[in-house]
Amino acid sequence: MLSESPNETSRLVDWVIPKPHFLESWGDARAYDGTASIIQPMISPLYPGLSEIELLASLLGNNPANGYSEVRKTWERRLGQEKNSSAWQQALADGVIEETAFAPVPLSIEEVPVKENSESSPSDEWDVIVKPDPTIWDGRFANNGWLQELPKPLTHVVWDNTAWIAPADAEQLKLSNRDLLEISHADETFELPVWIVPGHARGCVTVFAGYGRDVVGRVGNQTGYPVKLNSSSDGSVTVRPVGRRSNVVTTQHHQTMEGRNLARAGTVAEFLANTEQPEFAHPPSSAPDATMYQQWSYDGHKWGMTIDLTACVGCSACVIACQSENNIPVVGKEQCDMNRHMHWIRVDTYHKGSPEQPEETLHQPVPCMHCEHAPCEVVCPVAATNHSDEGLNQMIYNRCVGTRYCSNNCPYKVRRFNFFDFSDAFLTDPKLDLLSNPEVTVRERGVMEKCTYCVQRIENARIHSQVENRELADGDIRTACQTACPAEAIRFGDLNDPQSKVHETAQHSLNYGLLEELNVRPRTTYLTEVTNPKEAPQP
Amino acid sequence: MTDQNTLDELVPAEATYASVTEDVSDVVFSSQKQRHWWVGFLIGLILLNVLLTAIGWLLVEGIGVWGINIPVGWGLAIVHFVWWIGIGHAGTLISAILLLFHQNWRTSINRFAEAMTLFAVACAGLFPLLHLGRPKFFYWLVPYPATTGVWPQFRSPLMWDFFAVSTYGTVSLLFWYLGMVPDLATMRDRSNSRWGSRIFGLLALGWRNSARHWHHYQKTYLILAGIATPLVVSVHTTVSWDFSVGIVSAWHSTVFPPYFVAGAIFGGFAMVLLIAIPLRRIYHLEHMVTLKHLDNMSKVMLVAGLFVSYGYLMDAYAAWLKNEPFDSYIYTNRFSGPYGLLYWALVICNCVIPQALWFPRVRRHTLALFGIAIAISIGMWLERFIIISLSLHRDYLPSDWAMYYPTKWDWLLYLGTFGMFLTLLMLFIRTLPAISMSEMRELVHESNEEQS
Repeated sequence: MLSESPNETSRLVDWVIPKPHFLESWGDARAYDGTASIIQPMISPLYPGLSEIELLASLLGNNPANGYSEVRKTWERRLGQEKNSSAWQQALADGVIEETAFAPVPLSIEEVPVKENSESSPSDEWDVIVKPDPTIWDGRFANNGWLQELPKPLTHVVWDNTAWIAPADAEQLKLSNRDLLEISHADETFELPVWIVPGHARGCVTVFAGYGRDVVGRVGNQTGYPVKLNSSSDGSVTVRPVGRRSNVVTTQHHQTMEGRNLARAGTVAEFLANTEQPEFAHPPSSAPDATMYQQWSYDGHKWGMTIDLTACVGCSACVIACQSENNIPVVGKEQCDMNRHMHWIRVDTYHKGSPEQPEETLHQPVPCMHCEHAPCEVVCPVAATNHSDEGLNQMIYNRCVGTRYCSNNCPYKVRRFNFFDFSDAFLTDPKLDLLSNPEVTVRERGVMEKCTYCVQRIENARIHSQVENRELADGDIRTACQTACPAEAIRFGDLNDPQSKVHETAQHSLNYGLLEELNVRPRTTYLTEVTNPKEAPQP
Repeated sequence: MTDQNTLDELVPAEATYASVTEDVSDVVFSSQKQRHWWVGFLIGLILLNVLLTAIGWLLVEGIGVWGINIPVGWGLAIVHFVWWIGIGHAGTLISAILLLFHQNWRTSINRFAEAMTLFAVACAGLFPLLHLGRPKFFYWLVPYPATTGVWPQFRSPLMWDFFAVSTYGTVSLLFWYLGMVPDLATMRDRSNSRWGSRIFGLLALGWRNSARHWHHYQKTYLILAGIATPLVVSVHTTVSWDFSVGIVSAWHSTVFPPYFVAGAIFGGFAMVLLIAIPLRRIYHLEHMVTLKHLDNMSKVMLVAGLFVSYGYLMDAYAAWLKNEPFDSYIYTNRFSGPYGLLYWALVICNCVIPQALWFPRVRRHTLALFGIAIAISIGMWLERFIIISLSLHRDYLPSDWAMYYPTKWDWLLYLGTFGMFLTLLMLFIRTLPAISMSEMRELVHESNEEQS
């Protein structure tokens, strides 16, 4: 058996061949349209092993197997035979091989009748919907700490899987979050913790598979609950509360806005009615303009960020990108339960309207706002957090003594504190040393940290522009969260540059500041979500 | 009980200079009454070891051993800092302000009230140091000319706090010591042991009871009282700024300074009673710490309690008047949120129970007073918990609302500070005159003059 790490199968077989990571080996692949791509290793393998290609080649008698020469041989007709042919070089540089897409096949789709959702109260038979876990997928990523600790969309549960049910069903079954629910079908029975999800359909339960594996690794062992449904399942099950509770952990305990204008939203019709000053984006408030603080002046750059709530789908890719860029440690389920997770950017979820029929579910990514009048700066007794001449709210880790006053005084609670030596492994484990970004300081115990607007990327871009003897151009600096966002909801750039993309969105009539009524003047601002809802169907 | 003396008496009619001196110095010199002391001292030592264990574990593991989190960055450590500092207020109030107002009844209680202040400030001072993420760098809060050229930030209320508390500690120590000099000379003269007389002699600074000495002494004492008086108000005002300067909507309130000061006096007098009542009983000092003293202290507590209740009322009224979602929510949450029971316990302890002090019979009943003082101490603890941690657990963004549960290490550190307090108090009682002999003799003199 060929495997990257020990798993359930490898425990049963006699021979296991270690497989390198795909970033350590040569390979090739095709995209959805058939376009071919050469996979180049990013790093020489940390441990010896055989990739799939190398294993197949050695079975065919090509010894010693060499992934590179196999891939090279496969494509020699297309890319030329000599070792460093220009076509080969081009394919490596482009990442794709030109004109390898397949011809499309003509298809026609039959109209599928949509089954009407019956509003009847659940009988004994429930529908079950099995989905792969949003972060660890079918379980293959169960040993990945980043993904385990990434709050799952909507529920913000970490390190576990849950069974989603509707609020009304939960009431009927007298269930609350974390209660264990027994789900049975034929001779299969398993238990999952319940999570009540506003807007979930009645009479059905959504379960996430991938957890509860027996052999995973140091990180993923004993996480979550197995979903045992065999393929003969017709999708209907019986459910029964067991009367016990689980210790499922979430990082967002409260999902209503309590009448505060946090994640703002409106419709296209409302926007078109008043494009200059749409009321849903700027509700009347007593936002004061006067301030006792001196205005900062920015002669050079003035960094800023906008986040478009219309574009944001709440996928949390930004969270992982930030974690990987900024050496953010994984703290484990127990510490998450104590509200000590370390993510510098989080994606808040809010439901509007009644829990049964929420009008809307909004996602709001929240990084540091880099406030003009940052409340954190004035309260630090040792001046460990301060304002840069380009508008960044900087954190001087070496100076921090850890009073946590800055976090108390931060209305957004985006500051994270090293309650223990969470980053110890970065420094002591030589393998994890490779994990850390050398451009970013690893923080020690007792120090506060937070989003820096990827200051290391800003400085890198500045150095490059100076080497090339030119001005920094819009787009030279892309923060980690921005690069990862699949919807391009995040824009970053110079607010002083009237041509910059971020300047455009910062000036837009839909732009607003989170908690702007506090007059802290956040520099990260939001574009109000605009939806185009269909008219509600007549009953 | 031997409380037969009338309410108006501060000293018994039969008291003489000699009897006063003997009664007070006997506590130190006699070996008869030591059984109770040893019990107290032993309990103190055990709890002191709890303190050392709690501090040791904290330094080894980091402040993650406590229950604090994000959003609740300040938990029991800061609650206890404010609680102990508050207790430390009664001492200076009794010694300085009452001295300036010529309130003679302060005489028999000022010495140990001042000692209590010092020990309470010592306990309080531990917490801001230990609550730091990196306590090894606590000295960065001290404005010293560092080679880095970096100074502390004077805009931060924590800096002001540092100055307020250290000034208060220093002045309280000086005041306490200076007031004790004539008594130390008495102790020197009465000591039978060689070492005793030498040590007391050294501490007495060569006091010879001359008129000149008395002249200088009384001048200095008055001046120090003048310096200490504003401190009574300033320390807790500054402590309250830690909160009211913040942007947290439950903290950002101008009512904080006065009601923190009143709360400190409230809690401080409760603690004085908690010490005085057993002390006078065990050492039979009922003729020196009389019912009149207890009665007067109860009246101060009653007034301070009304102040505090007014503060609660105004805080809620202001939030209601503003009619602004953040501020209104604070009170909805305080009354009926997950910690709602604590709020109502606070109202009972600090607003309802102390109303019993309107009745003279209650004020003269030591057991009832002891119970009320305990209730007030608990109430003041709850007040600090509600202001500090409860305000943080639900602030602006509902997405980061969370609960705060203290861990056993939070509680052990608190328990441990009682050990430090008790140990220091016990050592004080056994080694120094717990009641001012010189001032008591003055009182005897005055009452003799009145009678003649």
